[in-house]
Amino acid sequence: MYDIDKTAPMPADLAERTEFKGVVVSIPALLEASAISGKPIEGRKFIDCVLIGPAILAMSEETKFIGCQFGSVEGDERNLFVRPAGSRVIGAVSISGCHFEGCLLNGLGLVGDDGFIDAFLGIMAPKA
Amino acid sequence: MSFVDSAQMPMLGLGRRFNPASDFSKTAFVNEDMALYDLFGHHLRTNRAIIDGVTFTGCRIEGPAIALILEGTRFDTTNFGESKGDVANLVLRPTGAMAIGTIPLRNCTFIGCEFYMLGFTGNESVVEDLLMIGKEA
Repeated sequence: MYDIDKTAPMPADLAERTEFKGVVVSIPALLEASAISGKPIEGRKFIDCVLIGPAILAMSEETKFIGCQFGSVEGDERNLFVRPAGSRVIGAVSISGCHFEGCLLNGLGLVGDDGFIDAFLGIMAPKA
Repeated sequence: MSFVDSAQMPMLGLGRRFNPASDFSKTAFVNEDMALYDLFGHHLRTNRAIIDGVTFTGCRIEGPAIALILEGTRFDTTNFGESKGDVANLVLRPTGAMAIGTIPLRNCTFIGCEFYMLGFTGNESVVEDLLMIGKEA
């Protein structure tokens, strides 16, 4: 699990690095590095990291969140989610096949349809 | 002195070359281009969580990002960017009362601007207005 006091600054090799462990990662900075290098944010692994936005993340079926926390949700976990009005989503950050474990996500939301949102909320707040 | 050669910058749909903004403390930008996140980052560093009261004229505003359209924000003769054939692809509906991960814009005015890789969200009235883009007679 992430530890704010032990989290290291963001590494310089954002574009090339495929595994991040115990570091801060700004998603907009990662996105910029990805755009410049032409290397997509795909199949990367984030373990015990502190990820910061702002950004809306678009997951794929292969994207995994294990033991992650989403920071402040301002009293309602639904505030993390937006639903697309169309069949595609422009402006979101694709994190296809990425793996997040023990991370804190701060200022980051997720896009998905109602089924995805219901399923994610179920994982976040399992019923007794 | 500038290390940026404007002649080497790409042409924009605005009919001029890319002209990156450098002073994000301004409240009025004219013919200057920026990533929305860079402007928002400046606001965050100066303890402002909302981009409020900024006027953009002839500017290119780039994402990827989702802009949260709040009260007082206006668009005049603005190109919302490539929508892949359906303006709804630019629009998102919030699920709760807030939209974490978006960049809030309040009392901002966009005149003759173009957007690139930006999505938009807001309350249902804003969403309905956005979905009407290009469909008005």
